[in-house]
Amino acid sequence: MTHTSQAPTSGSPRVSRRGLLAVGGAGILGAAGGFIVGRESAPMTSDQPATAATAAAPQTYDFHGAHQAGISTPAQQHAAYLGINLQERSTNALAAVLRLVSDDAARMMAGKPALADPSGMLAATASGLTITVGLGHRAFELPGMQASRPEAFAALPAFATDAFEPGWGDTDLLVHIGSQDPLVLSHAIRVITVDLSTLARIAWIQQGFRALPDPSGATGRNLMGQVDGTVNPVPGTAEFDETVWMQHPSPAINGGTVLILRRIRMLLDTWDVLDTGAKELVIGRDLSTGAPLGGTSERDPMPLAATNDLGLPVIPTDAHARLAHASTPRTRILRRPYSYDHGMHAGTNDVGLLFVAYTQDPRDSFIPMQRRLAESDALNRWVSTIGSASYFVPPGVREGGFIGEGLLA
Amino acid sequence: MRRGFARVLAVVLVGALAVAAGGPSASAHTQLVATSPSEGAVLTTSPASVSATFNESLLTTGGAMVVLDAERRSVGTGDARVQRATIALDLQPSLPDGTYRAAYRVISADGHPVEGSFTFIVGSPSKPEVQGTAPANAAGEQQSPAWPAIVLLAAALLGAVAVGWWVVRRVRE
Ligand code: HEM
Ligand SMILES: [Cu+2]
Repeated sequence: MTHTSQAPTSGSPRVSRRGLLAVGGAGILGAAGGFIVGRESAPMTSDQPATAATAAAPQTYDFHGAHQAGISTPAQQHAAYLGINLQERSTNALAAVLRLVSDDAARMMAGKPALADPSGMLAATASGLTITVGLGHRAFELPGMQASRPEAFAALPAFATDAFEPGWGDTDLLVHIGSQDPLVLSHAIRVITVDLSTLARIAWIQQGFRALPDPSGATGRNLMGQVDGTVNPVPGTAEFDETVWMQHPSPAINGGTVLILRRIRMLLDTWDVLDTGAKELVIGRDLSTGAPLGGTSERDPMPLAATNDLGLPVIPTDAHARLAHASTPRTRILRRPYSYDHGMHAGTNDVGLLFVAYTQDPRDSFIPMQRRLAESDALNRWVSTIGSASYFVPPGVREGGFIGEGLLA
Repeated sequence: MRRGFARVLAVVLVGALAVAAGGPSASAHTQLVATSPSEGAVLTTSPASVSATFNESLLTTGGAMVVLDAERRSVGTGDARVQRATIALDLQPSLPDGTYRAAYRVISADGHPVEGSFTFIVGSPSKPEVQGTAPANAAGEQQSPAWPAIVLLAAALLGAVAVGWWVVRRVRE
């Protein structure tokens, strides 16, 4: 097995397997034809009705392109976020990890086994697999990396509601894997952790899931029962591009984004006892339809200035959706959260949200938004932010390239 | 004939209870116990603040209070404060004479939203008068203080006893 050609000791970050990858990379490539424009392959099943849900879920996504997959592509049912720290803190080690993960990602996303995969049959069905790579603040502290840090990749300040528990903080790197199939996801996690075993340590793995798509196309719910994801930029629109993608003269940064991952526990024991009316006041939206209070359907704009006949605001001043609302693309965020269920904690279910947000600059968007929420969000009583990490997600690469290549000048 | 009397009394009593149960606050766990100023109070000086106090403690989140004059202008200042079982709001100094309506929305500690209002008068009432208290509203449970329901129930019981006594007299004659 080719696995024996991998660096036998953890001492050297220059992995001998690079030779293999170089051969592979050169071999695959004759096509210097630039970026692939339409990144989604056609759905493999042609007999399915063309509902929004099925049309939006092809089996494979292209690893290569202007942006990394896993952001503007439809969120799969299952996701895992791997926080990864280098064993040897050097740019060589960083480059080795980025090459390895890029190679694994390009192969597995295409439904092909990674090099030396002993269970390659598990990679045959990608089931919408995406693998996305981000660099953490710690990576930009490596010698030789400081100058490469995008200015917009600002560190998050402390917020009043932070209640961090050890184990979910910033790491050198993030690998985000998504798939419709939890088996494919688990296999991809296994391949990447084994491939990185001599170079890096996995600090944490955070896994999440989403409700099956509603056939009618209705927005899914989170574990508090709320319709979650109503107000969100739509991929393919100018608003989405302006909200998510960095515009920058450097091609190593242009088309990248900042990913913020907050682990937010839901305090369901106290949430569950609230009347429906109280739950609706907390968010500012109807629990069954997701419509804003004072509106009738989910997509209605929030009547933020409306008062009822007693003079009370229809949407309370401390309602979550009111306080989180932002009115321009650059001050908004893309939310792409997953629910999590992590067994029991302190005698009750450890469940919540892997709150995942993307922004071209958190200083314009996430930071002021989270400040407003920390200060007065009614929801704070029923949630607890127990982890936080943020990453620069570099732009996509052409075939043969690896993610973050341009940062390692 | 004793049986007939008992049946009549039972029917009357059930009717009285039904009337009381349909009253404004009988279905809520969370009861308004007092307001300041009290409902309908006529004050000689402008109050510095208004408040509503309930029979159980309140969540500090989700609370709102607003005081409107007869032209529906808001005369409160700052944010409503929730402390234990009371929500309060400071008012602008030296309110002109007139009728004012204070409205509140709170969430009780056990998770019920409660919404309601009360009126008070500074000096002499506005003309035309502000609408009566607590108009129906879908957003939360409507509440006036509990005492009207109690008065209603007492009156109904008194009536029932009177009718019963009259029936007994008729039967005996
Ligand atoms: C467990 C934690 C959270 C829960 C359960 C939650 C739930 C919700 C729900 C139900 C909505 C309304 C429906 C919708 O538009 O999706 C909403 C809206 C929103 N939330 Fe959250 N949220 C959480 C945390 C956060 C955090 C940490 C942020 C950002 C710092 C955030 C930002 C937003 C934004 C931007 C909106 C849309 C507001 C608008 O209407 O413009 N949420 N959230
Ligand atoms: Cu109650």
